[in-house]
Amino acid sequence: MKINPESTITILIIEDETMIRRTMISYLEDNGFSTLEAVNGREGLELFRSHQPDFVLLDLRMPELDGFDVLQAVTKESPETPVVVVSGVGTLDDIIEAIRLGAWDFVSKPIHDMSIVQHTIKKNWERSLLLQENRQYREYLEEEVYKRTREVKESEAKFRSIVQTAKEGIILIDDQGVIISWNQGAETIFGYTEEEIMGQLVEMIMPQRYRESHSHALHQVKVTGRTHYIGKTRELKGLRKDKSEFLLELSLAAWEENDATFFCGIVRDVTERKEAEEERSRLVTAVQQATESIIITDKDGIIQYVNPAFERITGYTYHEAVGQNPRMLQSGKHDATFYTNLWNTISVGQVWKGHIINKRKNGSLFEEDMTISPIRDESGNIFSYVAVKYDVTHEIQLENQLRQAQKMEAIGTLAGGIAHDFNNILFAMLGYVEILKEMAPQDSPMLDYLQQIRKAGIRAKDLVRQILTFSRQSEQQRQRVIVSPIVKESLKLLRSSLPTTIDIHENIFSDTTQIMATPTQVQQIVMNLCTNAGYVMRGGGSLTVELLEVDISTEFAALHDLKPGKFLKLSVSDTGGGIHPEILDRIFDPFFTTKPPGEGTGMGLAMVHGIVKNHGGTITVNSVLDHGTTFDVYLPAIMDPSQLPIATAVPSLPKGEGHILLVDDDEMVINVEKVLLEDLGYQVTAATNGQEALEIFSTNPTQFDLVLTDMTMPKMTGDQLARELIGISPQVPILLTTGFNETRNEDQLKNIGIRALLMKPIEQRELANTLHAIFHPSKYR
Amino acid sequence: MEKTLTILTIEDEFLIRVGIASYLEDEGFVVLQAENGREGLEMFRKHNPDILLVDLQMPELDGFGVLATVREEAPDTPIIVISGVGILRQAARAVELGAWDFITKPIEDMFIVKHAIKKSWERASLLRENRKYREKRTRRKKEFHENKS
Repeated sequence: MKINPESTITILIIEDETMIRRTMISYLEDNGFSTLEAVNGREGLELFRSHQPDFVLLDLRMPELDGFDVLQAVTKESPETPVVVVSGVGTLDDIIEAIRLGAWDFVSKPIHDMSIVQHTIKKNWERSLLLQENRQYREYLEEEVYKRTREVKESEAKFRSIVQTAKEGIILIDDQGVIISWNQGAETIFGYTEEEIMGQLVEMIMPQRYRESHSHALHQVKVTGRTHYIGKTRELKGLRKDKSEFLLELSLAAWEENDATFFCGIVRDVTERKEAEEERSRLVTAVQQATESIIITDKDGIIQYVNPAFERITGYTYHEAVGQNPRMLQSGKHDATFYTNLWNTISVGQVWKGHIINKRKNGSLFEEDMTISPIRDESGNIFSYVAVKYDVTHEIQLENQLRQAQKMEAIGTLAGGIAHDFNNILFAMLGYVEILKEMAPQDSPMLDYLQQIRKAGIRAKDLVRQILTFSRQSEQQRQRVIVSPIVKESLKLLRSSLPTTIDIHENIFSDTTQIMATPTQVQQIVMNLCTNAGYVMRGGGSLTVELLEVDISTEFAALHDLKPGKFLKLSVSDTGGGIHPEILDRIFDPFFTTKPPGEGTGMGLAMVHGIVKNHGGTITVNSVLDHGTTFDVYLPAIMDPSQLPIATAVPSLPKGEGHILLVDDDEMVINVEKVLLEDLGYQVTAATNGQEALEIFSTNPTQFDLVLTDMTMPKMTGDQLARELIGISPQVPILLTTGFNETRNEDQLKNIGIRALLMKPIEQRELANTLHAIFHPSKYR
Repeated sequence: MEKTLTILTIEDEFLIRVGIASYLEDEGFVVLQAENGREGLEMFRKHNPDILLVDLQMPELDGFGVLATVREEAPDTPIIVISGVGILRQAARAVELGAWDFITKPIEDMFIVKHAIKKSWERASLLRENRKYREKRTRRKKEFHENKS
C-alpha cells in the first residue's frame, strides 16, 4: 500500500461490460491513474492477488464469481484496500448489502459523468490515507505508552530494590500512622518482619511514653498542614520487637497523594555511633583535663594538638603551638646528641622516656619527665607521635630547696665550729702579740711587724664574727620590733650612698606588724640587700623595697620549714642583670661573691641568710636574667599583741657638727669611717699616716674640732701622733681606735690627753655616742 | 459515532427539505432547517452545526455563497452540496471550491444522504484525530529532546 499520495495509484477495474470498462480505463489513465482490468470476478480476484492494486472498482453483477464474492475475499485479505462498487440504478439493496460487506463507497450506473468516478476515487483514496495515518499514530502512541510503562516499571523496580537493600530502615505510614511499607533495613533494626508489621500503627515501634505525643503530632499535621519535623533529622528512642530500647536517628519526609498525606521515615540505629561519640568525648575530656601536658605531632614532628596543661605550663596557646615544631621549647640545655637519640628511638617505633629541660614562652626554664610514644596506623606505619610530659619543675624546686637547706645547715655547722676554734686561736695569738709588744724595745722595728700581725689578727676576728652571724651562733637580745621605721631609716641612709641614677621606691603596706628581732640585725638585712641591689645597678635602675604582712600557705611553710601563720614579707627588687641560674644556689654560701677580689667578702648574703633563719624566717630569690632580681624575706609576725616594750627603730644616732681629722693607714677603714662620720653630720679630712696628719694639723690647728686616729700605724703610732698634736694644741680632743682592747694602756693614754678609746671595727652607734659625749659633756655628767 | 450530530439543511424546495429532515431525524440526527442561504448562514452562526447540507440553487444567497462563507468561517465543518443531475458541473465546481461531497437530485434514496453524512463525518473525525495525534507526537518528541539535553 502506497503512502505517498503523489505516486501513481493503481486501480483494478473488475467489470464485465466491455464498454463501461473501456470508458473508465481510458478516463482514469487520462487522469494519471494506472489501471488493471478484469472481465469477471475470478479473473479480478486473481489479478488482485498477483498485483496488489491500490484501489478496486468492482461491478456487483458479473458472470462466474460475482462482485459480492470478490468483495468478501478482498475485504478479508486486504481490509485497507478501498473497494468502490459500481451498480445499476434501482439496485440500492445491492449497494447497501455491499457496504455492509465492507465496500467503501459506490457509483451508480449509468455513469452520467466520469468526474463522479474520479471524485469517488479521490474521496476514498483520501480516506485510505487518513486511516493509514491514523493507524500509524495509534501504533506510535501504543509503542510510546508501552515504552513509558516499561520505563516506569523498571524505575519502580530499581527504587524498590534500593529501598529493600538499604541498610537504613525505610518506613512509610499514612496520616493515620498505619505502616504501609517496611523494608529489610527496618526489619533488621526493629526485628519485625514485613508481614508482622504491615497495617499496624507506627506507635508500635516507639517506647510507650512517646506514643501519645506522636499520635498527637500526627493529628496536628492533619489539622494544620505541615510539621516542623519534616525534612529534619532527629535523635529518638526506638522500641525493638524484643522490647529493648535503642537510640535512632530519624529523617522524616512527607508527601500528598490524592488529598491524603503520607510520611516516609528513614531510620538509622545510632547506638554504636553514640557509644563511639561518648567514648571519644570521655577520652577528649581526659586529655583536656590531664595535669600532664600532652602534645600530638604528625610523623614529621609538626604539632597537631596540645592540651590545656601544655598551654598552662609553657605559656604558648593552642593556636601558637599547632603547626610548630616542638623544637620551639628547646632550652639549649641539651646537646644535639640528646635530640638525635630521642628521634632515633621514636622513629623506629620505640617509646622514649626521659627527663628534659624546656623553655617557656617567657624564656624561663622548666623540667619535665617525658614519654614519647609513636602511633601506628592499621598497616603499621608510624603516622603520629604522642608526648606526655609531667612538669617536675616543682619537684626539682623542692629537692633543690631541701638540698640548699641541708647544705647551708652543714656549712653553718662546719663554719660555726671552725669559727669558735678560730676565735680561741686568734685570742691567744693576739694576746701574745701584745705581750711581745710590751717586751720589745721602744725603738725596735719589731714593734711595727707586731702591729701588722695584730691588725691581721683583728681582721680575722671580724671575719669570725661574721661567720658566727651566718652560722646563727651569735645570740643577740630580741625584742618586739616594728620594722617599717627601720626600713625607712635605712633607705634614708642608702639614698646618700647610692648613685642618683637609681630610683628608690618604698612601698610600705605594713606599718604596724611586729616581729621579735634584734633591730640592728634587721637593719643589716635591709642594708645588705639594698647595697647589693645598688651594686648590680651601678649603671642605673630602679630599687623597690616593699613591706607587707602575708599569710603563708601550708605548702610554702612546708617547703621552707616554717610555722604556718602571719609573716612579715620584706621584698627588695632591683632591675639589674639578674643572677645566672647556675650560681643561684650558691649566692648564700659564705665567701661566695661575684665581685672582683677586694671589693667584697662574700659574707653579705650569708649573714642575711643567717639572720633570717635565726629569726625563724626564710629568704627566697627570684631572678630573671636581664630583668632583675627580687629577694623576699619572710619573718614571723607576732600573733598576739602584748605589753612587751616595742622598739620602733634602732634608737636614732646623736648627730653633731664639727671638723674631724681622720687618720688611719688603711684606706678601706678611712672610707668606712669617713662615711660614718659624715652620716652623723661631721666634716672629715683624712690622712693615711701620722706625719701627714701632723702636717695638715699644724697648717691650721684651729680648724679641727677633733682628731680620730688609729693607734697602730707604721712610723708614727697613734699615741705618738697624739703627743705631737697636744703639743701644738692642748685643747683638741683626740680619739684612738684600736683593734684590740688593752686595758693596761688606757690610763696611760688618758694621761697623755687622749679622750677615748674605740674598738675596731667601729660601730657607728658607739662612735656617734662618744663624739656626742665629747662635744656635749654636760649631758653625760 | 456516539455523538448525536446536528445537521443544518439549507434547501428552498420545501418537500425535499422536509423529506431529508424527517429521514435524518428518524436516523437519530438533530436537524436544523433553513429555506435560503441567508437564513442558513444565520442559523449556522447561531447553532454551530456539525454538518451542512446545502442546495446549490437557491434564491437570495445561493449554495456557493454559503459554501464560501462557511469555508472561511469554519473550514473544519463538513459541507455537502445538493445539485440537480443536469447541472453536475456545478457540483464538481463546488467540490473544487471546498465542498466535501455532493448529492444529486432527484435523491434516489435517503440512504445516499446518510452515507454521504457518515463519510464526511468520518473524514472530519479522522482529520481532527490525526491532527491531534500529530500535535501530540510533535510535543512528545520535543519533550524527549529537551529531557535528553
